[in-house]
Amino acid sequence: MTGVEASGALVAEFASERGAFRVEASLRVERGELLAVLGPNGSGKSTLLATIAGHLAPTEGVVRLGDRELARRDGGAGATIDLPVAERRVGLLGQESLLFRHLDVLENVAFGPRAQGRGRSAARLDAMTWLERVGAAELSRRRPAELSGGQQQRVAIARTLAARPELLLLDEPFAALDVPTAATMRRLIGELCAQTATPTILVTHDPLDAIVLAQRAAILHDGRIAQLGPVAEVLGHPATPFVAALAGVNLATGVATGSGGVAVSGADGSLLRLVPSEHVGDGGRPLGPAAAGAPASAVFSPAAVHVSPLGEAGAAASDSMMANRWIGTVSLLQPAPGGVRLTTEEHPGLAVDLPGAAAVALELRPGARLAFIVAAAEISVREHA
Amino acid sequence: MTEATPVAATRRGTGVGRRVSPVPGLLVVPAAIGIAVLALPLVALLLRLDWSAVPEAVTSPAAVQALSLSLATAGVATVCCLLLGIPLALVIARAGRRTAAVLRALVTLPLVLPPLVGGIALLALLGRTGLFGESLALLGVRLPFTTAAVVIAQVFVALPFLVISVEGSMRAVGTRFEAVGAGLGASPLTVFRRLTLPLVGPGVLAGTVLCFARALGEFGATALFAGNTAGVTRTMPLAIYTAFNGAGVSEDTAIALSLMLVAVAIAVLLVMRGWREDAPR
Repeated sequence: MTGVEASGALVAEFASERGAFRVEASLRVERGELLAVLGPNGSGKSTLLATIAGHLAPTEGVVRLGDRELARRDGGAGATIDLPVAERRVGLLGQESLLFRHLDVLENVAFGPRAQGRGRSAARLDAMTWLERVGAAELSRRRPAELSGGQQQRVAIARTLAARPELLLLDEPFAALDVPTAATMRRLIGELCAQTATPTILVTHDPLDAIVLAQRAAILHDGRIAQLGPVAEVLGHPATPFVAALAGVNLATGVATGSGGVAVSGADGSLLRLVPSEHVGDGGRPLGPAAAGAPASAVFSPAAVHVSPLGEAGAAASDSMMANRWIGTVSLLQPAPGGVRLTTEEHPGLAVDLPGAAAVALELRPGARLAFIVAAAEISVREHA
Repeated sequence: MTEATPVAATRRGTGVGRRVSPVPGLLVVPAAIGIAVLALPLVALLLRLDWSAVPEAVTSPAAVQALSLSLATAGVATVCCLLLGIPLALVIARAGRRTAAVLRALVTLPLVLPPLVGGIALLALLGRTGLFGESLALLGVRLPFTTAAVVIAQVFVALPFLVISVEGSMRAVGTRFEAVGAGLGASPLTVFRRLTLPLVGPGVLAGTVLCFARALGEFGATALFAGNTAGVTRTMPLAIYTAFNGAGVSEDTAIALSLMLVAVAIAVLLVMRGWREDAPR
């Protein structure tokens, strides 16, 4: 196998500035590991990648790959290292494949090996091997303009890996592809990263990328890493509304009740107590009595909420103090896959999904008063750090 | 692999089934006058021509000498422009906004300057009593009124065409491909040779044609800086001027020589079109 032997882990501990925007990062990616970086637009993802790739110099800190320092800048008079992009051996693949349009597919892939001093025929042989590995060997004599988007991205991956990078940076590589193509490419990237053991950072909007490919996920927010941990933990118990929205779950923040639940204040002053069942969901941590009064949050899926009419449930207003239950006024209705998503005036941050048939039966309309019950088994709670 | 076919199919068929946005009738008149302004003088030139005198005029030793001198000097000037202009275009394209604006203004200046002024400026720099002229004279180098002066004058007036064309092309291509190349481990020189240059190829080609055409037609700066010596500095435009002023030759000769320049210009345009057809997309 012409596998690439990645030399070592990436250690990135730096601050970087672009205009008035500052990004601070502290992360480590091991050999054979894929770290997903998620964050909203403008959170600093591209600045992070640009600093590691060498298109931007850090204002302080260090970027180390194995035993090589790619960049170092100490505060004050310390030594400054800023290795040129061409000497970093960092492969960067973005949303656009950016194939060289004046070269055919084979020459595109052979570009890296040739630029690194290999002979023409050796480089072509190498390129052909990589094209076979990404399943694009039959495209070798085509021009980039003759390829579909998925084919171009396939070739771009081969080209990136043929340059034998010791670190792979993937910047939303599936964003421009249609769903089936993205799924195929996701599988291919997963296989290649596993085979080559190249440490990889994948920047993405799509939690699916993180779930399928990554071992750990980092959440970037306002230039800082807001959360970093195993994917299941980060997505299962998001620390910020952004991650919650990304993961498609509700994040309710409040205070620990002391009896294992979280009390969340509604917009009308009412209190919603969210108490998980004995089983603690992914990423959750039980809240002991000692936590009472501490800031805490509960997470549950919008589909884990049961909606019923007030009268039918025999509910009086006083019952609203029951755990995992609130009486709400529908404020917003919007289509959701397979049904309707609604929010209430009392808890505008909590989405509730229900199937279309149920929505029709309930005669949903803005202003309707309904009872909302969250399944205890699907609630996970955590004390805030 | 059926994805490629629609691309090829639509490339030629864009006009089919699509209504062209109509041109307002009022605008057709100035457009027609415009094309007449450009074409009628050349038609008149053809009509004025005494065709029986053409063979003699264009094969006369003076005409052949002038044409070969023109082609040779314009060719050398174009090569000089390529060697100086492409690096200059790269520097401007990669410079910061302010530096680029200053450099671009400097490059554009000879373009908007009357060529006669360019000739005087070249004399002021390289003439016998010029800024560098005296030091050059001490070294035994005399530039004015030599064939070298013709080339220098042509470079002075033609270089801006090449630089502006190539620089525009470089800006359009951007630096993203170069960044990819560097990421694959290519040195800056390799990136320039294997990516930048081929990617701006069409711009270089267009710039070269404009540059060569401008050098071929150069008159004002040449007349002042290089003079009008048959066989040494008398290029086609100067030969036409000389013939037209009737220094022993008829006006017909001037017209016939002009026709030769028109023919050369058309040939250059055709060659460029031919190259463009199979140029990489």
